Amino acid sequence: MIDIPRQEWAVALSALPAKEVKAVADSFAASCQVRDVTLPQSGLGLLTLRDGAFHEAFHLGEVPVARAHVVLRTPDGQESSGGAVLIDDRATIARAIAILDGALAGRLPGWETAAALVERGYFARAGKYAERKHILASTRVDFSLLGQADEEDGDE
Amino acid sequence: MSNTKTPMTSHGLWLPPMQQQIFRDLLHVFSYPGRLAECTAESMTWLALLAALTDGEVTIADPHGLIAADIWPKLEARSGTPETATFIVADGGRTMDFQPCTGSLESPETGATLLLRVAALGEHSEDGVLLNLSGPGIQGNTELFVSGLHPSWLIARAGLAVFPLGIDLLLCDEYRFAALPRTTRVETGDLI
Amino acid sequence: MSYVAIKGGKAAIDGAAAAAEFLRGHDGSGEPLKLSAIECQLRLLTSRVVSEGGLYHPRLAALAIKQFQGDTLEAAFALRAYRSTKPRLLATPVQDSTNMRCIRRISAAFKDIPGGQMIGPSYDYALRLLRLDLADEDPEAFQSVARTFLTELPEADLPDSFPKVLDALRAEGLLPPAAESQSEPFDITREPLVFPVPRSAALATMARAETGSLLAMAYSNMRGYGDVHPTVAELRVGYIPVMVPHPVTGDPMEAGEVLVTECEVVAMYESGKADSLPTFTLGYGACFGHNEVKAISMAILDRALQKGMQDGPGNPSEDPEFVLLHVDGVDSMGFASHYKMPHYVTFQSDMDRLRTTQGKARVADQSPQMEVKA
Repeated sequence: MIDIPRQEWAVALSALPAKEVKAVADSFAASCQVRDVTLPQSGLGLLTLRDGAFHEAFHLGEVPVARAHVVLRTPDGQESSGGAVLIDDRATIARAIAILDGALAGRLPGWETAAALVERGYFARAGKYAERKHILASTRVDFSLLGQADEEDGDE
Repeated sequence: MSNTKTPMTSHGLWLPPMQQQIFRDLLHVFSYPGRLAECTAESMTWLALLAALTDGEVTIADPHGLIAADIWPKLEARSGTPETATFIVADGGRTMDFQPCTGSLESPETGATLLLRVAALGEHSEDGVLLNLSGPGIQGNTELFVSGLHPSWLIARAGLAVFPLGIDLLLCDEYRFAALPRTTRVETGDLI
Repeated sequence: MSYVAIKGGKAAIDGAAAAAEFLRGHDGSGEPLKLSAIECQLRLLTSRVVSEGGLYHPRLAALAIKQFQGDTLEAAFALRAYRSTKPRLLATPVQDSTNMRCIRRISAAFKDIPGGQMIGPSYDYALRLLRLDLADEDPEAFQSVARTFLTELPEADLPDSFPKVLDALRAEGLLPPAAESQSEPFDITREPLVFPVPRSAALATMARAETGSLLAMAYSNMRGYGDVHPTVAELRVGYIPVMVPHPVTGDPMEAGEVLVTECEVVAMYESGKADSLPTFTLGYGACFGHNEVKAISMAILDRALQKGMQDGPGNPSEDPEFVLLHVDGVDSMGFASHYKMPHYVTFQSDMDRLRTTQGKARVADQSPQMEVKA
């Protein structure tokens, strides 16, 4: 299993079908006690960007934000905190991902299932990135050919 | 009187159905000052009101430490000082010892809303006071019985500012609440 | 102006809604549009509504386009209405678009830029000849297009992000210095524009402005009602990762990515202040979605407004009040549309006044002339 940093777990999981993610989260919720530290929320966030000209910060617009923060507690007293913030409008998926984040971070019993899910999501995203790089690679301008054409025309 | 730091076990007051009912009741008590509304949030009336009213865009001051540590993240609101906060929750039985925000002429609505926990509303008992209320929303006069409300709150309310500036009060006991908006004239009567 | 409350129009209003739905459903094929089809096959239209609605939710933008039968102004309005029902949870930390996962990256100022120029998905060099084969598209052929593109390509070994072209110019000292004060950016969703406004307010307003309005204003500057004379230093389209603090650890975590178009223009150079050397002047434009004309127009107007705020406006595109108050599509469309609302009382009084005035004029014509006796 590859080592995926915690900061990428949420986006990896959000690349998978929500039903699947929720199902695995539900299985942890069945075996652990899950306490909501904050209420799972669905709302808006202001996206703040640094402008390229003068490096001033400005708000580009709003993005949907779903957020959750939970504490998991196993029957034998092991505790682990989990959280997630997503560009998404579903508080339920944020809570499910927060549960998996906590289960994985705390290596709670059954964490291997969560890790496998994260890895699958990671590769799903990698596939998307590869598509984008193909777009770039296939449209890259080769200016060296410009020099050759000039020589052939003898216009210099 | 219940423990000030009782952890919140009831989840109902964090859910939309109860919050929407409370909001409707708040509209009612502010429209008809002195009328009582029932709240079924397991004796934590003031918390149920706070949960319905607040979000991340307001500040709450808690000078008497009523709000348990694990409740703050659920309210989403930021912590503020009694002098500047949008909402203040306090033990009505204690002396009022701060100056809340009374708003400005340009924005009188920014005056603070105080949620005061009192012993009992509407039930006559030996250690209470009868308030005689009149003004907008009240036909003629109406009476509201309160016990466990220190006189300093009403004195301050009357003397703090000139209308439209001022503060608005929500009195909460274990099961009921009533509103005293700044437009209401309050006269303290004798014990019955 | 007084608006008349109308009774008796309810049946007509209900009928209007039904009539509009009838026209929407009048398609002989009986196939309702799928939102994914709108998002994908009409992706540039979806991008436009996303940025004009001011909310990055392509799926809902597609829904709004479908609901309002393609009217982009109404669709943007619907998106704005939706966002007004949601609570504000956070403002992200300042994101850096250098981390953009580009799908397109070009420069008109330089041939050789670090990382190279990649045209990406663009119609810039396309022939504007109608492709009649699209009139009756074979579904199988349609489905194989994406498959074929991916299988026919060489292995791509490109970096995840590319440095900014402007950074090279900045390193050489050719650009004005970056801003020193890091004041809170202006929030146009909470505060009204009261002029003079800071540049962050101008950028935020233009970022969700209606594309045509922005383009017209910028075009006026390009054609001579102004002298920005821009060169595109860099235009990039891609996905910016949104980094926010993790609720538990507080460390930056990726919440998702947002498609953004960004344009930096270099304009005429001007003399520096006091002891400093002259530098190029700069303009910046950015918006949600893939919308290059909007980003370029915004960059030109950013430069024009900077000039207007510094030297006083010399033409409309340099006047912040003129530009910023007239480019919002929901504002402008709303005002234009309100003229359709009943103005019966106002107009009745206008008619009465005109009749009275005409009456007086006729009486004056008919009255006997006063003769001046010699």
